[in-house]
Amino acid sequence: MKVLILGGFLGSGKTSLLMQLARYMTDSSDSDSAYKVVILENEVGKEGIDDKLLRGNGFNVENLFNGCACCTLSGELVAAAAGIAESCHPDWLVIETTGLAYPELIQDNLAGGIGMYSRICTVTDASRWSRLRIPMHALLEGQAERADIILINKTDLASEDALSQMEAELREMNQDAQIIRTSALDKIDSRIWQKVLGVEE
Amino acid sequence: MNDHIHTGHDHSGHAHTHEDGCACNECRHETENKNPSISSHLQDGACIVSAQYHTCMDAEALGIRLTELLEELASKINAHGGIIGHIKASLDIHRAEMYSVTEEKVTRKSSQVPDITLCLAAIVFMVPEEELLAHIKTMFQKLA
Repeated sequence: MKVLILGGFLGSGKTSLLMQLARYMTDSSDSDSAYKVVILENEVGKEGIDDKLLRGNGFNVENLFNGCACCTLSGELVAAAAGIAESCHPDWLVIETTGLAYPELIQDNLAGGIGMYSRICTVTDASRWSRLRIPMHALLEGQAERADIILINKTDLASEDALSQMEAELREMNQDAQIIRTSALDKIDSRIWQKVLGVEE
Repeated sequence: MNDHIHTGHDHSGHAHTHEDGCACNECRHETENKNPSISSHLQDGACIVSAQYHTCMDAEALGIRLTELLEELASKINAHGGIIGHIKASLDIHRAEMYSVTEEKVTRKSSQVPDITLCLAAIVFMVPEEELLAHIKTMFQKLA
């Protein structure tokens, strides 16, 4: 089972992108093969919202609510991932984190707990970056610094200057990640999903 | 009539006072049946509020009113210097259909108005917890 950790700040568009990504992964008409995918939704609150939307669109969703998977629910996260691997045998587990989570901590927990390797895709919000950059500095940097790939989302709501500035700031946070611009309003090119999954040809 | 022995039973009512967090059956029943039920906590500088609200009304009308009230809530938070992580709501809409047979023929009845559960999740920064809770409670009062 391969694991993708989909992180990024609140409201950055993780779920909107995940809907497209999951459709790409499970639909063989757009790729050479379809994957069996389980989505693990983490919410810090008691109520789940996004899981209902994902489930209503036909995806296989497990929940981890009432805490953060990178800290307060770290044990439960590892147990859930191991349980999903054993019971469902999916090709991919996609963990959509809460917007408060540090994806690298989840990656470390999975590796240390059950020797499970994972990729990190961090979604960032071009429309709010300049407003959040300073007050949410620690969290934004923590979410970007070990990402394998960073998506600058909502590019339709930002100017070219703002996008270039944002890209430069993200590059300072993470010198190795691929940084790709997206807008979840459009159909994302399958080559971007291949990069997200790390399965480019 | 039962002949069991009553000695040792307190039939005069509760023998304890109901303080905050009392978990006796009466208090638990009251909490579980509050509408809306709202809870909150703080994490990493964010105030996190979860709420659940039950109603029976036209779903479209509820959606329109909810949209207005969420925008009003967002506006209040922004005006007070808060940063909204996200405020999300979902509507679980249930319509009941009943099928019944007593002799030979099945009769079918449908509910006229759906039973709706509204779930709310709010994560907000830089707003005191009590203030955010007050705003959200006001929102539900306006929704009722």
